[in-house]
Amino acid sequence: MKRWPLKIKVGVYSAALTMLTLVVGAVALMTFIYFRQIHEVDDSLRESSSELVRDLQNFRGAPVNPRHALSMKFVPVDMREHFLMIQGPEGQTVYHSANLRGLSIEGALGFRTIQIAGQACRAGSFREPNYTIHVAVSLEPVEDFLQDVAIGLLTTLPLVGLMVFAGGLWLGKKAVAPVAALSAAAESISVENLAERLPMPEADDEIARLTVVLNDAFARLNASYEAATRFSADASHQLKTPVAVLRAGLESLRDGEHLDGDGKTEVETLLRQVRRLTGLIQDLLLLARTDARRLSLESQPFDLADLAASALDDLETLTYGRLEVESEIETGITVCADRRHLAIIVQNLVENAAKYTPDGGRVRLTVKRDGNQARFSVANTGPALPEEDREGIFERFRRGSKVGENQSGHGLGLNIALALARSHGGDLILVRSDGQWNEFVLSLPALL
Amino acid sequence: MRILVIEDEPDLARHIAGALTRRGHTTAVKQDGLQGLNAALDTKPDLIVLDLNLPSLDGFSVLERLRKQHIDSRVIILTARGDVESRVKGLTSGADDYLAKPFSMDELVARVSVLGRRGGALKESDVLEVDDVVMDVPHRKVTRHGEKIELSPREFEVLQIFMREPGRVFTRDEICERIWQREHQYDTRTVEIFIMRLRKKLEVDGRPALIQTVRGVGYQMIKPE
Repeated sequence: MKRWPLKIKVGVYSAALTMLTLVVGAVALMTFIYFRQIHEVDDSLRESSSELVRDLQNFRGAPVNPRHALSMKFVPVDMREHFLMIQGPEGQTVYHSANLRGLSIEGALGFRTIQIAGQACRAGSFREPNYTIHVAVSLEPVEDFLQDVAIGLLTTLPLVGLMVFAGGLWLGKKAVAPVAALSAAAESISVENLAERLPMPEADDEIARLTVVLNDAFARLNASYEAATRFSADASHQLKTPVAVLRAGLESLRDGEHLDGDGKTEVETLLRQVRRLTGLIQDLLLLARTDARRLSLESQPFDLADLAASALDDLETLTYGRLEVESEIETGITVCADRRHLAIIVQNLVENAAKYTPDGGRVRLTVKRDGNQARFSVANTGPALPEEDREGIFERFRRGSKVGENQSGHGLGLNIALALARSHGGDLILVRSDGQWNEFVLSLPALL
Repeated sequence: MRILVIEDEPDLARHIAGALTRRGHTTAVKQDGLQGLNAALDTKPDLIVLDLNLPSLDGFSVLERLRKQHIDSRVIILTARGDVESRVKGLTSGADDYLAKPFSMDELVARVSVLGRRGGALKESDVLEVDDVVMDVPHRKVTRHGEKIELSPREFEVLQIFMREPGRVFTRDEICERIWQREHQYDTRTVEIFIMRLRKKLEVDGRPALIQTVRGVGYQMIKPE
């Protein structure tokens, strides 16, 4: 139920509430009717008994001896269906109606509900001059009436519920509409247009307050995003000069006369680290630019097959004698892109394939057209990526959980590749990792 | 050549000046934009190594004022801004070459000497010739002694690096950087394999080997006299 859309919830809740109200109302109504009816029965019992006594006293102009037994002819016609017991002044029974079949309905003065032959009855006992009257009447008509009311309510209940549900649905939809519009507007705000704001509604209501809150959140997000991007760009920038000094100094040591062979080897190692640092700074700067959408592209049309030929050349050299390299390269697929950036994407994919394929495995490069998309695929044999790694494989500084610390690379490769692919209007996805092949596909809009 | 180095980072300036002096150039160093501009106006050096990020006057402004004063010293821009815009801006505002920090000192020295030799803007020619090897760059064709040689894309690029500056020694790392442009794990062994394959393909009976190993440093293409 928690997962239902709001309008359905409103519909269901209002229908349920209405039906519950109806049921409670019906119970109250039926109780009320029941007591009203009992009250009326009581009145009629009292009236009947006083009428009976009045008739006895005035029977054919002469009072009947209250100590003599009475026959049915003394009982008024409308009381003949009643259960009736009449006692004389000393408590002797002078009349016992036949329908009682000898059963006594004697009781204290006043009213009570009793069972007679399995039937609920209302009984009353009254002291009249000379007589004590015990009279009872079946409650069947009252029960029948209440049953009719109950059946009537129960049959209309689903209909009412359905109508209220439909109404609630409509109401819910209407109430949610401004929120739906707001969320659609908020959805269209992404990294590309973080500075944009949601339009303020005219009414000063909850939606307006929500809009203000969302706009504030977007403003803060935008500010921190810009700060992070600027920091990244500035930091990379500021790092370059000291690294340039380091590199220049180390190179002059290496080329100079002051060091012996061992010293030069050490300097060579340091230089390699400096170059690694340089690469890292370049990558961070590249990412900062793609993050800030400030990557400038020197796009020009070229055949993907050229890029693939270089990649194949690298791959064969990198994996020479260790892996088998296959390729299926369609020529004539032209893309308009910054060649250096595409080269970076492809280099990263090729490096990864060379690095993570177990010895004796295969690597396959494929370039083909798929509708208006160019697809550059790099696939390698190897164990499937653990499920938990697949989501995060394109994240920054993320590396596979099974990758040892001794592997080279700083975990930016796939992240950069993805960012560059996207800034060219393309995408990079892991399409297959089934234990046999791991396959990455770079897709780009192809020129016709 | 008389070279003026305008770079505000003293250590870097010192190393640049040192490396250029070792190659026989006369160097002067200025560490801020205005002083650099004045020194350039006074001494009219043959070449200026110009940093972009300078105190008091930035590199672009220095370059602009120099050109306004008709100082036609050749200019190599050094910058930490490695993006396309500043490279394009640098080259269109009158610089002759552009080098992103951190750069290899060998690269800087090589570019300085290319600018000095050509006495003008760096223009890459389309057809390269060393000994009897001819490379047609736009058509990606190579012949030796008139015989066509089939090269893979990377072998072609390696050979092109050598043929653009015959006689210069390239370290494996420098070749790596030139081919793949950025740092990555293609290690220097990969370069060795390419060079090995390239040498084999360039072998022609009775002709000298052109690519030589310089022990402990790297490789060079020699021009037999």
